[in-house]
Amino acid sequence: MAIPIALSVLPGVALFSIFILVPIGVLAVTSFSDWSVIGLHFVGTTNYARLIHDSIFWKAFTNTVVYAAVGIFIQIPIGIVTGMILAQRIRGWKVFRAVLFAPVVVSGAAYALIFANVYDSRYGLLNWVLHFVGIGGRDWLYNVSTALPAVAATYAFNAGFFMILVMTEVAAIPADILEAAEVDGATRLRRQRYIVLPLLRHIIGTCVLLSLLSSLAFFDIVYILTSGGPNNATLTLTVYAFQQYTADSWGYANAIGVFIVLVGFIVIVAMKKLFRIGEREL
Amino acid sequence: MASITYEHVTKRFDESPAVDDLNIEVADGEFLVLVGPSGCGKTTALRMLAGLEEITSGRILIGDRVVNNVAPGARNVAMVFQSYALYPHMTVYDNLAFSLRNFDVPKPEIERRVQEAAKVLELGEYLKRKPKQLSGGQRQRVALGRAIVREPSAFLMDEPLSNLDAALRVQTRAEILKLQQRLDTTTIYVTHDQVEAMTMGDRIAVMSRGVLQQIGSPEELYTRPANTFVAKFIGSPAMNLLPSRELGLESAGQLAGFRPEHVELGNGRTGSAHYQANVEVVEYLGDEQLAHLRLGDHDIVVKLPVEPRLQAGSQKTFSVPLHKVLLFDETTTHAVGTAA
Amino acid sequence: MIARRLVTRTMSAGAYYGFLAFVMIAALGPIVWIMVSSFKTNPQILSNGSFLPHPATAAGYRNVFTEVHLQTALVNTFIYAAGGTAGAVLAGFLAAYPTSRLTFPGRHLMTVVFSVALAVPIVGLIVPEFFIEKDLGLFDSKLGLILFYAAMFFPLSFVIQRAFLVSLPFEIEEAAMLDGAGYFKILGRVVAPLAVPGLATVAVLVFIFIWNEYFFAQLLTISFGNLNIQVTLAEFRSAFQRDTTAQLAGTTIAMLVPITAFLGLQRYVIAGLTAGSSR
Repeated sequence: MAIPIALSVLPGVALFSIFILVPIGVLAVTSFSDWSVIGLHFVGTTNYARLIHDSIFWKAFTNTVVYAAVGIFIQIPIGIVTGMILAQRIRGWKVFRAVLFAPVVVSGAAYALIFANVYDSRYGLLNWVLHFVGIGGRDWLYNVSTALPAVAATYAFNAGFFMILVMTEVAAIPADILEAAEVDGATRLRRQRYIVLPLLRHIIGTCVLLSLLSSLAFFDIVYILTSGGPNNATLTLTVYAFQQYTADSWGYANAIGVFIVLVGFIVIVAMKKLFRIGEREL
Repeated sequence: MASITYEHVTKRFDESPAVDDLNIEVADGEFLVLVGPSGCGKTTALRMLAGLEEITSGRILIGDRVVNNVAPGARNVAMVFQSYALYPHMTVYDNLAFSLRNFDVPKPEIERRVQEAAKVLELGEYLKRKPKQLSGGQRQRVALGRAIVREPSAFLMDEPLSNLDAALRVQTRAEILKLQQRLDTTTIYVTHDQVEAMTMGDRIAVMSRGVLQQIGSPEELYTRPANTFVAKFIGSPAMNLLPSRELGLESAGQLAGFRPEHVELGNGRTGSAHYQANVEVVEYLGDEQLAHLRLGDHDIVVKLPVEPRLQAGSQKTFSVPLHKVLLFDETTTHAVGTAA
Repeated sequence: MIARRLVTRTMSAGAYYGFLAFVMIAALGPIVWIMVSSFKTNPQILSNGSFLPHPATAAGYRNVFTEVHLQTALVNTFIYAAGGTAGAVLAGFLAAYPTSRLTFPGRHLMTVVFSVALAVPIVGLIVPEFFIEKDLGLFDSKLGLILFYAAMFFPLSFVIQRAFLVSLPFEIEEAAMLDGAGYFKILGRVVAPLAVPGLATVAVLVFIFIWNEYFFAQLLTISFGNLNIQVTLAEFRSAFQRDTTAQLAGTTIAMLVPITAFLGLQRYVIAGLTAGSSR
């Protein structure tokens, strides 16, 4: 029995080792070096020391935190509310679900192109609408103060994914609990607030975790739309790491990479402990 | 405290009605059991009373108030669900208090009622726990407690004992009865178990396929079933039903029914019908024996005293007093009297 | 009583639909605008006269194929998506089965490692991935990117399929074993047909993900013959700023594939995402 099993898991293990395990190892090890086109010498923690004093790195970090905040405090609540509304099976809910989820399958690159046009100062949709209502338009992507919000707005309303998770979770609530609440005199609103919402704690925790992880990996839209600018206003950790890579500062790029992977790891562990994700109430 | 009335109540989900022209009057303080096999419409009837199902036609009254269009929460009824439907994220205390908070009952009153219910149901030390930390029996009591604190016009119970093991079931049955007698609240109790029905109800309403078969006291249903369905449904082992000629009775187109315990061995006294049958299986129960007989195409079950012991494979004569033989019309299934 | 019920019901319905409409406009407005505007001529777009095209033109779509040769990118993306999906689904299935059923040393470790890998942001691995592909001679090759994608989505495939497999009753496999069937035979003849819902779910998801993938595509391929559609789109920003219509047409085409896939296969997409995230 041993041989077939070994053969069976081989493709997966091979792929995983070559493209994930080994790279992580290389990443970690070479982050302690000054790897570039010239060569590779180990320099201890120089890269990390440099990282700590690198103002651009911290700018990228705070930007990433802002992006995460938008995800958690705007995107997720929208997802929760729409999910709870549609879970009540109002008329046309299937259509709404499809329409609200469709944007989720649109690629980051497509969004970058879409919003490049929407934010265009001459003919963009946003300025057109604002002119319509009488307020002036701006050069959204080239203004240091508006660039970051503009980038955040590209995904802030795209809550279809969280909506689906919430809907599935609501469907798992036994119907008779809600019926009991109805007989106990709770109005529709009260039932949603006091029965449904508390029972969504678990899935909301999952949503927060997923949102944090995707903010950490945020690249496509930012890179294509603004390249991280103007003046690093929209820069993320991943874009910064990529810039270091194109500048052939591979050791340093890997240090940033280690930071990203480590933070991801910590987030997962912390979230599991904090919200006890993985435990069910029912 | 109120009476409950079903007036020509019908419920249709599609073509065939789930509840068909139901008419029942429940007196204030009465314990009525709705019993029948699954799919007979008893739960639907209960849910319509609770307001969880729309009424297709007819009226339901609580007291003298028509409640067809009244929201479930406004009908002043409390329901105990089969699965208990406890709020999993709330403590026992909050589970009990929830409904009272919805009706803006003042806090001290809530506290009083919850503590009172907890005392009656012996839940005092569990008030801070959550449902998942309780045993099945304890959860069931919380479900009852939720109903009690409401001090409602009526209790509606949907098979509350079916998730309990046999021993607990018997014990809880008695507790529910005691509770109801104490509180004197009108209760509608749904079950598929005819033993529960017989032991608990002031009156029993037997339903089948959405139609009310008979409503009456346990004794009435047992001794004078209105049709063959009720005759076979009530009582265990079930009543024996055969074409009456098998018992040597003249009447044509009729079925004769008699209970296992009314059968005697031998020709019996005058005024009995008798028949010969093969004994196939004998079950010895210690204080009595159950014999499964075969008469032509029909199976018969008889309950006899332990002596004399019957042997499987023998052929014997049995008799039933004629006044214990009930006659039913074969086509309409209605009872038409006794053979005496 | 009835009137009051109806009024509150209508009020909450109004609030519900109002909110949904708002979210819909915010989320879809830009997308719809792009699709509609892709039928306008360049002057129309720049002048921004009306929302709808006036008159409509398919010039953008034509240019996208004649000037930009988007068809190459489309074919490439399809190859990557199909190949990567096949690889990820197969590897995932072959690994998920034994870990869900049989006990062997390392089973638990493997399961945990693969599950955790799902969440680790592999975008941090820019440099190592580049060099690994280069050193293996896979850089800027279709095979190289396909293998990479198979590896990238293997953890997801593993986790989702394992979730499906653990819920399958194993009496049937036991019967097959007693009938003398070997491991791979059972896998292929008995389990695989039953696992089709799980396989389909993963396949749809991974296909869409690969179709939309930009980061590693632009990292690991450079020659025109190997670019996928997302990378080509990104080039639009710089290379085709003149021809906005073509830009919009290209974007619309790129979006339509995953959107149609989703609309047609909603069940699978939704099932896959809920299964994947609960782990």
